[in-house]
Amino acid sequence: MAEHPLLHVQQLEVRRRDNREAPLVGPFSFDIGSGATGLVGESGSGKSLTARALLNLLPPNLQAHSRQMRFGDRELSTLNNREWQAVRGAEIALVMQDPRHALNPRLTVGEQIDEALRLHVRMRTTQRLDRVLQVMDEVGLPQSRQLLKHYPHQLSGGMGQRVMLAIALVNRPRLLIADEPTSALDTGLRNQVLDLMMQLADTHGMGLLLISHNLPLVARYCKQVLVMYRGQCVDRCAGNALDQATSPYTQALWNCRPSGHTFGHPLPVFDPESIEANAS
Amino acid sequence: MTMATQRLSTLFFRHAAPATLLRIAATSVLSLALTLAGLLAVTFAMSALSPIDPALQQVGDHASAATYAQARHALDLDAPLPERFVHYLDRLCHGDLGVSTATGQPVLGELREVFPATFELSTIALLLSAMAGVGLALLSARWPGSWIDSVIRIISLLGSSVPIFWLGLVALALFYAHWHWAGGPGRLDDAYEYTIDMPSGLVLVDSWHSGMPGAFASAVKHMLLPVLLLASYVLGSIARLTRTALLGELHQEYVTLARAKGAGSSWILLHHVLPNCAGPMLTVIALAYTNLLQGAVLTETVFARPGLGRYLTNALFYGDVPAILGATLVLGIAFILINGTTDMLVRLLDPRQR
Repeated sequence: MAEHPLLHVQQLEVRRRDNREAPLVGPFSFDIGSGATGLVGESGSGKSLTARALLNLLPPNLQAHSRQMRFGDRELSTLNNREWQAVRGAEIALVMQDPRHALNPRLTVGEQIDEALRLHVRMRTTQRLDRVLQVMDEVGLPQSRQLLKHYPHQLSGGMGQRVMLAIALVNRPRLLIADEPTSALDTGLRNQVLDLMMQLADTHGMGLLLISHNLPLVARYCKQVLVMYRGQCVDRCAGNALDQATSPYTQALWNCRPSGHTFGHPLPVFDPESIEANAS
Repeated sequence: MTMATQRLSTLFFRHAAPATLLRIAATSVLSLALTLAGLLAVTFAMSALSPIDPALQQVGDHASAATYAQARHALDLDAPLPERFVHYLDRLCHGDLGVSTATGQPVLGELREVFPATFELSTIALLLSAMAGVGLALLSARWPGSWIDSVIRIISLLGSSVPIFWLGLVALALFYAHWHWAGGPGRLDDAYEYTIDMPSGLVLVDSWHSGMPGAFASAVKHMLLPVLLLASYVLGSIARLTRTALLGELHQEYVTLARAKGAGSSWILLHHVLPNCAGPMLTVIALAYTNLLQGAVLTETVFARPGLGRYLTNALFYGDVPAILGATLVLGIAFILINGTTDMLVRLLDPRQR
């Protein structure tokens, strides 16, 4: 029997509820296996909408539809709200971009990590505390006991991102969706946080969907890359093959990446018309 | 359960350090003191610059120049302004607010009778409207755009737009005159009105201590309509502003993260959004309180209850300067205390400001 992917999505599309316009995303199909999957594309290409659709967390005026959304041995596309609540945070978790906005300013670090646990398991307070401290240790938060009582505004950006990671990992999810998890961090921290995420995904056998517009990072970390353009998946390839991509859009994106060599020089301009001509 | 909750708070929640509490309290008291000084200066200026001449009021316009000068001296009107201000402060410190020109009674004594009545009525109305207003706002924000939301918006609009004296008269006609469900005008039934002592001036407290169960029941019955009326008057603004604050806060990113954790809409409203709206909520409730304290005039008139609003209005009609100043001072101090407490609470509740 062939190996089942962790998440198998068929014909996913995101539409406005009034349904008069063409779908904002898709329809397209993809699999997420173990190891990291990258989702890249320019701003507005539908990366985040795709991710939110996988969590059923779209804004109220949007609606996702898919022929099939198989997660392990469960079908997600037919779940009701209450069943989705049991999946979110416990089996599929989300790491957001900016800890300064994504953490509740009035709750302490401990309360916010504990909340994710409290919503899904019935445990005694002391047991929960042990689990919270354990996950804080895993994500490399120092002096966790004191840190429990800190508020988000007292944390640095890197620590905030680790707290968010701890919130996501506290229930040991099978799939972690990271929506631009490092865009708010500086370069050094970026690699640290990503290394940590990859390592944790490896040790726990957790799938990872990494959304980013930083192509070199994705090329380095992801086994598989999906390239999105105007709501469509225009290319998919292996992460280490991103530099030899044959799709013109992927090539253009790859060539647009800034680096030490391009410092002081204008980046190549990328011409949407040639791509559309090629695509059609 | 309580054990577990207690442990949870000691594990995860940081209470403000005593030093921080002290600092916040000290700055609040300082700013209260400064505002109070400003208030005293303003009330003094009101009396000193008012076109009403208390000496003339006292002696009448047929008095001789000598009598008039004597009255001016007795009323401390012939001294230079700074000296008069010092005298004014000195008298205030001794609890002397002057003598009402209309009744000949000390103003302080009269205020002692009317202020507790207003305080009692507005505080009960405020508690009621704050609880109902926040509750309605939560329901609205839980199902925005639904029929519950529309009904609540109509209720709150009616509450704040129907004239209160009209509503009061209709309520009296129906619930007192027609159905006899509620007590009529006054604070007590006639049988009790002059038989119980009023040491505190709070009719619920005094009738409770009178030892007559009937007196307390009568006080409650008489309070029913005015309290409901006043509560409905501020309920609208509390519900609407709280609803707006809650809905605005629902767009924050931490709400998305809470949903991604698996929290449901009601949990998010109660655990995340409501605490984060404490600032605007406390502010609108404090504003409602000050409105109730000064704005109860019509209710007090319709229901023939003693109160600060009615006292002040009468004093204004008679040009009774000491009474006007006394009532203004009491209202001003109440406003300062309410605003100061609100500021302090908002700062205490926000970890970023501690």
